[in-house]
Amino acid sequence: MIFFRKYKKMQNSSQQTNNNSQTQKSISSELMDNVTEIKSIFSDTPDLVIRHIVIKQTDSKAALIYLSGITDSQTIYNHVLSPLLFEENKENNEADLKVSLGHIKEVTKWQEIETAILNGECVLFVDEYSEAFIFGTPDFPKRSLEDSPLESTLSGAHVGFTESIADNIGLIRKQIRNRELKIKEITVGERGKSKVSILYLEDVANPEVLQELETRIQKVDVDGIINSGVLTEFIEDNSYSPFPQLLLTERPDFAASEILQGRIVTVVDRSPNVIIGPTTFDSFFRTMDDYGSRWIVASFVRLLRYFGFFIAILLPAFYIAIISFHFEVIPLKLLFSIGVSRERVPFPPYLEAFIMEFTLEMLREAGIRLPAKIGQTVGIVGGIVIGQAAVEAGVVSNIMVIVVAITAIASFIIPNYEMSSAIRIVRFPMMILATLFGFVGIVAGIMILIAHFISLESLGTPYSSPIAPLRFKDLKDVFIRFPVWSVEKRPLSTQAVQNRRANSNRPKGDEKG
Amino acid sequence: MKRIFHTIFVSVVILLLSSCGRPIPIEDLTIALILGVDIDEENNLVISESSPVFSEDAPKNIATYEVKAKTIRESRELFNVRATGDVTAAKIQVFLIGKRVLEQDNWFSMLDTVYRNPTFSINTRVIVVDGPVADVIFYEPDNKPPLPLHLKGLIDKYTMRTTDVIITFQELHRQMYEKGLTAFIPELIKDNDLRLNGLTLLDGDGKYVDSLSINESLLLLVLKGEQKHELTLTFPVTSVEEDGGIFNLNEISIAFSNINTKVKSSYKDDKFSFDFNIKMRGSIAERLFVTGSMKEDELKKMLEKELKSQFEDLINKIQENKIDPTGLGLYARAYHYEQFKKVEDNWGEALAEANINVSVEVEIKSPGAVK
Repeated sequence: MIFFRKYKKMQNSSQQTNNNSQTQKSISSELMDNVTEIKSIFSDTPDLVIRHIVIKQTDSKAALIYLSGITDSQTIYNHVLSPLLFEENKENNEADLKVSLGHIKEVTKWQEIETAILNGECVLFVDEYSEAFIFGTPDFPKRSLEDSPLESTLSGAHVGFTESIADNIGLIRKQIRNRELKIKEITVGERGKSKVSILYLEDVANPEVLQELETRIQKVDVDGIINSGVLTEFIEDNSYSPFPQLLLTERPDFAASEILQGRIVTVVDRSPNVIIGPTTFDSFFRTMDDYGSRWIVASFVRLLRYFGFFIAILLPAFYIAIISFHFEVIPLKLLFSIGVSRERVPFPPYLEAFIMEFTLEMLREAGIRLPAKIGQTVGIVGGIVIGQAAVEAGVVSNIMVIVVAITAIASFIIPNYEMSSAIRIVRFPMMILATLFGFVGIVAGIMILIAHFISLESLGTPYSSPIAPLRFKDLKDVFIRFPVWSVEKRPLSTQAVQNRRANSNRPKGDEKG
Repeated sequence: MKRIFHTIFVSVVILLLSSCGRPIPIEDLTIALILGVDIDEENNLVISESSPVFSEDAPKNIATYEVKAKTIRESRELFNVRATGDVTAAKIQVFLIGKRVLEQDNWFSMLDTVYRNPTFSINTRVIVVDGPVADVIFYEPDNKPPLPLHLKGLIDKYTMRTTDVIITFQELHRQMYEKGLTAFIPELIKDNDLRLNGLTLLDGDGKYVDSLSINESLLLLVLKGEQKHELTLTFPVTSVEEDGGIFNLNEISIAFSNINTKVKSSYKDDKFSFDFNIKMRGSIAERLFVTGSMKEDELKKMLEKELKSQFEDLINKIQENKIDPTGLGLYARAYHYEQFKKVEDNWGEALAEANINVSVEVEIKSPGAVK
């Protein structure tokens, strides 16, 4: 053990010195020295391409270096190699390379060169020249734009974010073509450096909230961010809460509409999810379809979602409480059928409920992880296990199957995956409370939940707004979605600087506008 | 660290707390749905209970037990040693009480446990059985749902068609302790079948005095102004000649859909007097005689006269028995408090001496589609 510790220490210290020397050192004017240095930095890197050329314009020796997997070889050939190799420069100006490429940078530090190569740019060392040229030729492997699979809509745009930050920002820009849309770029992560961009409307978003978000992101000290969920955990207000306080979405139209409401969107490189904050509880119950359909329909669906929220959290607990404590509330005729179906079940109600709920959760998780072709099998097996065999074998009662089915449907109705997972989790403590205390326990659980909601914050703004603190004007777009033109103000919970967003002076049908 | 310790400590303390009862799943309970109280020939108190059996294998799905006990609470222990599960009173639907019980003094104090014990359902329907309770509670007709369902359905559906009233434990308690009225309870009779048989009237002390037939019960509800739904009355029209053999060709049925009862009270010469002003609007539901033989005005007057005499008969019956199921005492107390206060303990007698007048106004809205 001691040996290992020592070894680790040695390793760490050597790494440190290595890093330091690299940042300090500038490149040499000798081409061969530079190439050797590059080779030492990128040892064991077979995809590193070092191409020795002679620049026709100046007749000087040069080396073009890039990583083949993440650069655009077509661009390099057409716009870098060809001009350098074949075109003549009549003015013979050394500093002005004839390269038909927009993005050229001259650097001297090794640190910068290393970063550039890792970012998919190519570096040109010219002999007897103490500066290196960096050409912007990155072409990371990426997929094309597709509809978001998790947040599909009927009427919204059928395009989701991808893993490329440039594309994602472009998708948002496409929705908001306004010069007030500002982008702040921060780099996070020691090893896997990720670009993180904060998008907001400068004349709308609250500068204090923005500052808060920026500081939090800057304070993140981690090896690398693989997923925007990781960043969320670093910057959210309360990590111990099961409820998400920052909204992750894959939909550019949703992100854009949130920006327009005065919220701030954080795009993380290599992650198809963007982070939206500050959010309120009701944000997780909205979809783009709400705004695509008529407001009465949208309001109905929205109320259904809130109803589903309560069902998903409370129904199994309610079942346990009724069966084991408060059978008085069962209507007489139902009592007969429940009694008969419970009679064969050898387990107490809470055990029955836990067995079924765990089975359901396992099925759901298995369904997500399995490829679609096998996933169907899981569905069938689960359907038979939950639906029929368990009842026929007398392990669970019919009524429990109904409870589980309704609970499952109710939790699927929540549009945000993070929120629906949170609800799945909260269900179990509720069931335990119901097992121990019946309705009293459920009421206590609801009270704890409400207290928790009230105390939660998202980027320092109240999470339960507009219910607590009560803001009547904001209620126009919470449970009932009023017609869009009637919602004149941005939600107060975003603390937007500029509040007006629409004017309700729309012409009536028979008036001439 | 301190916070985590606090959380764990509080959770443990909460878990150790006893809750509002220990959990028992419903299949392990013997849920009494009917409770019966009666007195047998040797003047023993007989308490019976009927509860569902949750088993697909058992041929009968209702188990009924009968014990001799001194009180209702004592009977529970006797049921417990017989029944499969824990006997609970929380879901009692129907409380059957024998008429013989009501004829005794102080029978109401026997129900003390019902009002004292929070697990007793206060919405239990109270029904008087004319005859032995055992006949009813052990009755197992093949063509009916289980007895508790049947009895509850019988009384609730009947109420919906407004022929009878639901008297629950709560309502009974009010009627027994309210000085301005006397109690009445629906009555059940078992002959070939189970059927409701009007109302049982109790006096100010809660003892049985008289019974009302179905028809009289309806009229009582009209007097009380509690007839909220349609009410159909059938009368013989005496002026029409009857020659239909076994068919009563002089009958007419009126469906009264809108009944408005107003009571005016006054106090003169040491006597209370009450005026019932009853407006009844309805349509002809059935008429067996030919239309030409009677004019509309004539019919109206005839109906008013007939109804008035029926109401007066009912009031006479009430006054003779010195009871007040109509709740006139409430009016007396509201408008003549001083005078009522003097006689409130003998309100039935005071009412017996009071002047009670009835005026009936009938309006026939629709003669129907048939000529």
